[in-house]
Amino acid sequence: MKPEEIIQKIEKELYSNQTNPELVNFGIVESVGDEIVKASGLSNAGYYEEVECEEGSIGFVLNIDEDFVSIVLLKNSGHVVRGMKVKATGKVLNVAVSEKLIGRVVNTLGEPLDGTELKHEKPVFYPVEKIAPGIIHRSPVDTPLKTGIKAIDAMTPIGRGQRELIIGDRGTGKTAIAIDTIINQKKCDMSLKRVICIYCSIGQKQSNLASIVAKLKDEGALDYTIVVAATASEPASMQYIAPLAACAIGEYFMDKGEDVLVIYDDLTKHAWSYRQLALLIKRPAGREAYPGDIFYLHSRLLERASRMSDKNGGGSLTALPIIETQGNDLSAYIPTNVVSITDGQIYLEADLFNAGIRPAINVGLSVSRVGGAAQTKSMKQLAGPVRLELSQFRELQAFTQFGSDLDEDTLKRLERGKRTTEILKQPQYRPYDEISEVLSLFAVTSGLFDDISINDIIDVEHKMRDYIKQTYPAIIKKLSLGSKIDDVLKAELEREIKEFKNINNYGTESATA
Amino acid sequence: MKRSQFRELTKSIIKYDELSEKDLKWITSTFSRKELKLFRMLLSKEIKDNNVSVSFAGNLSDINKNKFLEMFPNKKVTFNREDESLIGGVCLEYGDFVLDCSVNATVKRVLNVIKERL
Repeated sequence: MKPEEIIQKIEKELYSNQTNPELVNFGIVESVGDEIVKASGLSNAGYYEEVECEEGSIGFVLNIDEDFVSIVLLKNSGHVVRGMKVKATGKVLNVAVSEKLIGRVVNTLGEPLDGTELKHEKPVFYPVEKIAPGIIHRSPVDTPLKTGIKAIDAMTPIGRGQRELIIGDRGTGKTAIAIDTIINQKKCDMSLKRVICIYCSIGQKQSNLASIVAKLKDEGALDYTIVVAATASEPASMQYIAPLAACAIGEYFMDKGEDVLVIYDDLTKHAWSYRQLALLIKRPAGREAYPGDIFYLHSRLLERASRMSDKNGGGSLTALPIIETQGNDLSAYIPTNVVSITDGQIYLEADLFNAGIRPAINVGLSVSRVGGAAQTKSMKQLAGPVRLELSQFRELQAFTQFGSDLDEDTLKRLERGKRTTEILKQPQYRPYDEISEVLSLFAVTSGLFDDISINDIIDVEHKMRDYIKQTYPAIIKKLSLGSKIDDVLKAELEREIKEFKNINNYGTESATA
Repeated sequence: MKRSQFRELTKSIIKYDELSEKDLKWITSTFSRKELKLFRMLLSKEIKDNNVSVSFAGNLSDINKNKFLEMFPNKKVTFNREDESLIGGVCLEYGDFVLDCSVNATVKRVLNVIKERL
């Protein structure tokens, strides 16, 4: 900057309102311990108001009692002592947001963690706690958010503005589904609007987070992703505020008319951090020592996910909260709370994972309450038979030990079910576009893969998909419209897949051998 | 003794501006450690609420002093000269609130804003 410009700026500030004296509310620190400061005074302090200590520590007010307030420290310099002054800033805890956050890894306070400076050009400050949009401001969820995972897009489709819970034991692939969903947004499938992704890591190991960030960077997904991190080494206050801050960042982009995806990984640790804070500020403990408003904590966070009407910008905020269960117990306190809040759940089972079915989605217990409204017509048409076949297969599986005593129809259903299960398996970091999903599901539901060995199904699927994309671009164009597969299109697809099988000699051996 | 009773006690001490030695001996012998802490806290809060501290640099004219006294008719107003920390202007402390109109504070505010904006 030129010296004249600097002088002009200084003159401008001198004459601005910023230099007017302001009435500041002060308090005195009475006790400090476990990241909680009890301060007397602060008679005008509000709930969630940001406060500053004399030596630079920052916190927010979490409890207001008759003669003192309990302040939770976010940034602790370690020098807060009794008798020190604490100043109320007059503003609710907020986070600075702008486009500059995209592609960055930041902490709960919006400070960069990836080694480079973060300078907002025209920062806007969004409060971490905000009332969710009202009913009038919303519009129905009718646009798909493609995860690129066949099993999810077919049977538990997610729409933009929906809350879909990912729940399962440790090591069942919950984070993998979330990361695959982020990677799939690179495609901008079906000419849909771009999605800005926000991955909020709560209480995770730093090594895990580092590998996730590296993976997103390798796949080019970091160009539209923001990572908000409150790792295991951060204090409970930072872990508590992290998902609220991530949601606030998401709301900034949603208010600008963008579609946003926020992944909270995971809300179980978020509940633990809130329990820790609540016990430290001596709030009464309820079930499992959680405070009485633990449900409200998650409900008000997840209610902020919405699809806004065109009048209010037309943006959306989709939430994918993750909950870790212990021993497959879906009926525990926190899982049942969050299941009742969200618009569906994707339930991952360790048994399925160990049996090689990955993603390990229990189709019977997984549901999406938005359902077909968030699917294209072609996908909706194919998804119905897939669900039916899988449910019939599950019922008949008990009879597999009596294989030779079963009638032909039952054997056929079993074989179809095995092929459907096999086709829904998918390697990590390999999301499918809509057309590939439609082709795979069409092939298996129309019986064209009934004569192919189960071990070869995935390989054949890939080759068939590539063959049709290269040889019949006209069909691909028709499918990309997303409209229903009529009889003409169905016949065309069947002919092409049969042609592919003939050329490659697939289906000549007995499929049940 | 209930909290409300402690509050009444501290209010009356401030109102009559006296705490005799006999009363003090009674308090220290009767109250438990926890009650003494509460009493001390409530008493210091009452003192703060009933006192106004006006810090100024240089000279403060009698006219201005009277203006301050008129602003707080029921409070005890004390005037302190602090040239070094204020440089100029006035700083008002009343209860939990501080209104800092000193030159020192204004310069700090301007510097902070410039630091953020630049």
